Amino acid sequence: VGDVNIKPIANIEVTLQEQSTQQQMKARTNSNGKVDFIITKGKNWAIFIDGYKYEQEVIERDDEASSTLSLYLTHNPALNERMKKQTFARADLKLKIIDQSDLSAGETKPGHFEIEIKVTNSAGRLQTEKEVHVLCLDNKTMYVSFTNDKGVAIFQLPTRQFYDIDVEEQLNASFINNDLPNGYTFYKTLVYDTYDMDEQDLQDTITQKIRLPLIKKNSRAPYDLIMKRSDGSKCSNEPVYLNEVNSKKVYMAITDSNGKALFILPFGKKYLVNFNFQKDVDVLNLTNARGSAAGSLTITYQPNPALEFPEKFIPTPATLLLTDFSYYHTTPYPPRQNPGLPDIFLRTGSPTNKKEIVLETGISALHLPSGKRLPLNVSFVLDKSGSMAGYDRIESLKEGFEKLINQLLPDDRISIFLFDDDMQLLFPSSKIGDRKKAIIELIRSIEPNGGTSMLKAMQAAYAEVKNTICPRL
Amino acid sequence: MNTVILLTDGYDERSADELVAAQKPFNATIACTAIGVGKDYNYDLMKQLASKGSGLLLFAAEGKELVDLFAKNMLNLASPIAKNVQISITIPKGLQFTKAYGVNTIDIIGNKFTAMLPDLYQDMELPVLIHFLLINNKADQPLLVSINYLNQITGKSETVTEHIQLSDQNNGSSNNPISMNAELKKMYVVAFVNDQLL
Repeated sequence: VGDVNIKPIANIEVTLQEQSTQQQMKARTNSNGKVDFIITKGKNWAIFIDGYKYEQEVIERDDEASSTLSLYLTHNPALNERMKKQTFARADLKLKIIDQSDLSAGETKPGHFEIEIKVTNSAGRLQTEKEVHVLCLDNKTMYVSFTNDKGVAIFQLPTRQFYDIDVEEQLNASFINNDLPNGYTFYKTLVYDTYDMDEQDLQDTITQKIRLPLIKKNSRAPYDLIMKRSDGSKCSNEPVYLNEVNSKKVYMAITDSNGKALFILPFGKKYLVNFNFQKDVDVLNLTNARGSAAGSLTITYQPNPALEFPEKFIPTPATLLLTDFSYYHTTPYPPRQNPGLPDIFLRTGSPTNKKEIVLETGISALHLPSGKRLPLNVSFVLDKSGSMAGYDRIESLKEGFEKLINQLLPDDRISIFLFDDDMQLLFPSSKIGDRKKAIIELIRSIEPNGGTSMLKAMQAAYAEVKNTICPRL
Repeated sequence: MNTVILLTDGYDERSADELVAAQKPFNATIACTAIGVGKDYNYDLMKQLASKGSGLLLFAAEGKELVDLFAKNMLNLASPIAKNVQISITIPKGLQFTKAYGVNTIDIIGNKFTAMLPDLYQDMELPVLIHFLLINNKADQPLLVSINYLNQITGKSETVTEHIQLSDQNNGSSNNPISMNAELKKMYVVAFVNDQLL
């Protein structure tokens, strides 16, 4: 563990916490800032330094093989707190825009300070005519200016506010804290340079011509996607599509002779991986990525035969079935005549002629006063595969789950299993008691990725319910 | 209630048969609710996994619908309030039973129709459709419908009865032979088409 100046921090407490069992291991760093752990059980261990969760890394233990992992962690709690305040959303913020592009250095207005933001590239060359945005999230205001021929954009901003700085497409390139006094001028230099590539956007399909060798820049994340066939061979000349989540944009590239497709991706987004004959394969999460972020992912291509050879998959009647008719019952039945009892509502109609009659018997069940129901013994089996990342599915699931947990009674017993290619016990079977908060924390930590294989999780869930079965229920 | 709740889009690496076989040993004691997530979830698989009689298949596309499903319905679903639900109908003269939709096992003895229904959950509304042929355009006796069930809270068996006068309705619709509540019509068409496909 080191500080921002890469100086080792001695005698600081490091805690590992298993994400599903909540089991903890604690130790303090030695004089070299080093601490060793031996992990013999559990699956995913989160890291805390001096009580602060280290968001960038989770240690995953492999059941089958033993291995050694070395991590270098930078401890900077103030920076962590400040970065947590930033958002990458821009379109939904409904920001008021204030144009300061005509501003020149000089007297500051009362209650304001001046800041000169100099933009250079990584070689130190001044960058002119770059669009710089300074955002105040609390006041929903965005100040806009451009760098002049000295590479400087000038802003006058109200004091006592937090600001985030975007340079062109590099969102949250830096920030300003709320401690600058009024009447003064401050200077800040930011490094911004774009990748050496041509990007073409044809009706939201984006293709990139990237000139190699690749030189890493801070404005976006380079991402390698390596495609293999199930026999391990390289999968070359195949298209890879990355669908930006919550947007219509699709990044497209063709794998090279090594099965590799390279993308240069903007920060702050999630991307769903799609192949020609395999949909929603996995997700690339750059939601919190900044600066030097980069990534690589190897995926085995398992073409879906139904997509590859549709002519061999002529639908059977069973697959043509419409959703059950009861799904189309949407208008509630009239209020109950016998409160506290199941009720019957009857109506008839003739679908074609007077020679036939359809009787609809609507049965509505009584509503129990809360607290009167029998305790539950429920095991949830949640799909956390990459395909759940799209269309806000996992976010809605988490939000709904939280609401559900809040309605449970202390005697209710639940367990939660997650699955992707593998299964994970998120919360072992136990009575809710006073653990609502802990369960909600666990649910919030779910991040979608991986393939879809439900069997193991489903079997484990049944076993868990069976072990604690309550025959009366 | 002992329940497993599955939430997935249902596109699994394994076949439906394998998954259905794996849950089979538990079906007698543990219910299964299957919730299809996403607009194009695998209905075929989810329908097979949701247990017959006691389990439910629900559909929740995404976004708010999914949130609401959890917040409002999930608790109800985990705990049925009535089991062994049986519907009985005394078929009046002039009507001939042809088909029932939304029920499990059907028995007809004389003019008495009985069928088993899925378990009832709190705040749930369960439509059952029954098709009759009208013989000689005449059915002037009321149609009696009753529901018998085991109340899960009191542990007692209870019955509710309701009736409908067919002759009134016949008169009301005689000028307009296709008069039928729009929602009932839609439900009947869907039930009919599904039945033809099977």
